[in-house]
Amino acid sequence: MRTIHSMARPLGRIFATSSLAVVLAGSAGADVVASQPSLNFWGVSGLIDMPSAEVQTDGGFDTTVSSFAGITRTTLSFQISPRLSGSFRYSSLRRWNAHFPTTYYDRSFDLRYQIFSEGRYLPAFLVGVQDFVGTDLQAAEYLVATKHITPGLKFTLGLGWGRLGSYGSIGNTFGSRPHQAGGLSNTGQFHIKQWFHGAVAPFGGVEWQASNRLRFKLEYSSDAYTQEVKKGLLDHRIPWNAGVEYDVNNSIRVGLYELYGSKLGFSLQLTLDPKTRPTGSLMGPGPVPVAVRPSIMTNPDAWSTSWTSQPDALPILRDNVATQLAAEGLTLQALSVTADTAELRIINTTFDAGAQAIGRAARVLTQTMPASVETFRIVPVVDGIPISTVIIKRTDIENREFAPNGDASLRAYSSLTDAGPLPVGALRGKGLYPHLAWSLGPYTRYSLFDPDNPLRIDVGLRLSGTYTIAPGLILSGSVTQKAFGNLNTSTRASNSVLPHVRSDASLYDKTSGPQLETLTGAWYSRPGPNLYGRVTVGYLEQMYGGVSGEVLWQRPSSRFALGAELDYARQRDYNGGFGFRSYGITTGFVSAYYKFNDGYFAQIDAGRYLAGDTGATLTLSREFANGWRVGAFATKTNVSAADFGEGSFDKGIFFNIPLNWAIGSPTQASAGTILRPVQRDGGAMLNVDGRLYDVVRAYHSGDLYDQWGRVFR
Amino acid sequence: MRHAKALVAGLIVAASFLSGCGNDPTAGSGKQVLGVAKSLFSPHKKAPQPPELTRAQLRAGGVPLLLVKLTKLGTHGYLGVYGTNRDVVTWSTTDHTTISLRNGLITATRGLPGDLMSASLPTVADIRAGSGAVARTHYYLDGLDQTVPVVYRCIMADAGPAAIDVAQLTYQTHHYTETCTGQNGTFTNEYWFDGKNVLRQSRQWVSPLTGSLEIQDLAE
Repeated sequence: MRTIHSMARPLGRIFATSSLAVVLAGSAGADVVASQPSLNFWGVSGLIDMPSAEVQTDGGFDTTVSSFAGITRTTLSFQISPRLSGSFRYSSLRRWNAHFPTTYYDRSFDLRYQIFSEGRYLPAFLVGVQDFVGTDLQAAEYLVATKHITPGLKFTLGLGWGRLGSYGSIGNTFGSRPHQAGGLSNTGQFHIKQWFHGAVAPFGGVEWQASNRLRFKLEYSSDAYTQEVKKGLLDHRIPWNAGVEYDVNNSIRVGLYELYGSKLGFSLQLTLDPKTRPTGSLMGPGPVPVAVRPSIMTNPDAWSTSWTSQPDALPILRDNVATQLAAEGLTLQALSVTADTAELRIINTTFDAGAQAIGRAARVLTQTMPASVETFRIVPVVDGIPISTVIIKRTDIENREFAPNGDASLRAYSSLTDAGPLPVGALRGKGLYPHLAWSLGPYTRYSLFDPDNPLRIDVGLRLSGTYTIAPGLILSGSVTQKAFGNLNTSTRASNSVLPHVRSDASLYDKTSGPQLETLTGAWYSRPGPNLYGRVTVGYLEQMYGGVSGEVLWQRPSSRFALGAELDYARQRDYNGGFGFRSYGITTGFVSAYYKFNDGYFAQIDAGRYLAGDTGATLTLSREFANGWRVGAFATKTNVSAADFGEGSFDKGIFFNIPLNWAIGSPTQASAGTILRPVQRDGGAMLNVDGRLYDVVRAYHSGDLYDQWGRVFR
Repeated sequence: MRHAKALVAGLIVAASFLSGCGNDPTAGSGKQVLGVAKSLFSPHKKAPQPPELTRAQLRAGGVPLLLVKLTKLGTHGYLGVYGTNRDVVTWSTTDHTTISLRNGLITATRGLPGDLMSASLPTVADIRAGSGAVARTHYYLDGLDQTVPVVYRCIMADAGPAAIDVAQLTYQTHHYTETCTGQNGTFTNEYWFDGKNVLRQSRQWVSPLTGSLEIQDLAE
């Protein structure tokens, strides 16, 4: 089922996120300076206020904050493919009007597609639509060309419509631009009828790379800032803007500009490349070497199988393996051994790459198993259920430990199949069942984009515990105590005509006492071959309690998975206690997942949502082998745009950044969030921990083989 | 003074708060984050370096050791034998940074920045020929954990006899060089073979992030 973006509001791991910023700031010493095109005030490749036809490096993930004349724009941009990019922007305009006496906030999405890349004689050519599902205020379309004259000097020339056709128009295309019926209720509609209609105006500019780090820009803007001038935010004296930018390092850029002859502006641009680790490489201790068996010719005694009749052979081997696995950062869940085969079940809470755990487990087996054991069956166990079996011949790992590109040949000689039931006579690890794990640490919880206060944060302490009774049978819970924060200051009452399944979220943050965040019992199982099951009962999330059942079907070597979920959810009391409100609903989904070869991922969930609406959610994302994920989702249900309210339908973007990518050392932690322009009640899902696709994915072929290079790390 | 103490106490409490506590390895990345933050704010502070061992200490220890210097990172360490796979010996520091040598030539490292994951190397005979050109391929993991080969063309040369000091002993050696050119630029490896044909000392390149390792075989 959906996982990353299923939360009502993300529970942030702010410390992880801030660490990313620290790490990036720390890469300041790097010699290489950004060769990426710089970003404009709208957070897309461009000049100052005008776009260019350039693209960022494939997969580039950029954050831009720009500000002038009381207009601040924060933009996340992602280069979805080498030619296609998407942006999500949050704009604030100070002192807007009587209805918004303080500040007006606006969210917008852009898409840009480069039709031609730059050639020897021909310029790069790009088409862009700005704010394509928003209000009239920011909407614009453009065609733009950019050409380098020398490596350090480039010119941009374009034609703009909408906002970008508002100054110096040279005519109209397709007649006049149809006006949108204004207001928030109409946001979220695609304004295709407007696109490339009405007044069209030229824009352009020049950019000069003066040194590795220093860049000068001059542009002619076709944006009249009509509304902003009317509101008195700025005077539009001249259409010319000029600025200077400086690359602090290869990920941070700052700029200072003079705009429209009346205002100074600045921008801060943070460029991340998911394909490049900021620390340069993986870190962490090396694995135990492969132990090679003596030759059967010279030392036949070592290959004797008489140990199989030794009654305490298995306990001794189990203890040896467990000790060595622990040194590698892994836990022995169970071991069974015959004269020629060992099946080792492991729990990996250290490495983000499944292959690294598999490789280390195989090395430990070479160190511990009698010489006659030739076949290693390594079974990763997550939440008590065996996920898959990686079968490696001992001879192959002996021969390939130091073979050039040995990981590729080891993969060719290994195989991946389903995991069966625990072999008869297998011995479990000590102290695993029952087992209590607990942690006490900070938490943050935040809400974004409330017009009264676009960023509210609570910080406090979270006590969480997991009590594993038996394999797959897990009790867990968490309690939070707010220390300080302003989430409780929200006064915005929901105006939703649907059941308030999510729009009352802020009411759950009013209490200052301890809150029971979750308290659940979960049972994970393998109901059959290639089938995975989960039942979760209890206080599932901050807003709902109930029962959630899920089944997932996936062959370990397949890129396709199919799932079904059925839940009964009952709305919880606002005070974070044990009580419930009267609203209850049965929801359920059928889900299909497909991981494409080139790193794209698609998911469709169809079913009944929390407000009783029925429809489907489409999620598309780009998944990098190192665990970076960036994507977008949209849900359309049988709720009309008018009933849904602001935004018309549920949609958003999400990203997930593995901490291992940022710091290099072994960790499974990651930082990420889901950003919705607005959270309404239509298309809302229950947020349950431990959805099966995420439980199994690390040890199925997609993720496992994507990171197989780490099998010898 | 009292204020200072309170401040320090406050910082410690804050730090333990940030890093969290408990026995759940999957919870709270606070500790790791703090560690990274610390290393970033004091990037030049190196881990304490082991003192140089004297020959007498080495003899008393009685185990074969390598002295490995990372000139680029300004650190050094003593490595003992961790494992042997046919003609490859893996040497390790106490914190499991490992270097695997095939007849003395680096064929893999683990725990160094930009680890050499595997390699196709010249032979010792190629090096001791003192002339000729041989291909060398290094395999690295890129930022997406994909194995990437980097191919070098290496020119061998004979630099003549040389006397070198290794932990207070002087060895008469023969000095050879290997100058390699590839996509990542150029590096030169140097090898000093003693009278018993032992690779007594070498300087071998690992990766752009680690640079070269200076390795001395301290066994007698």
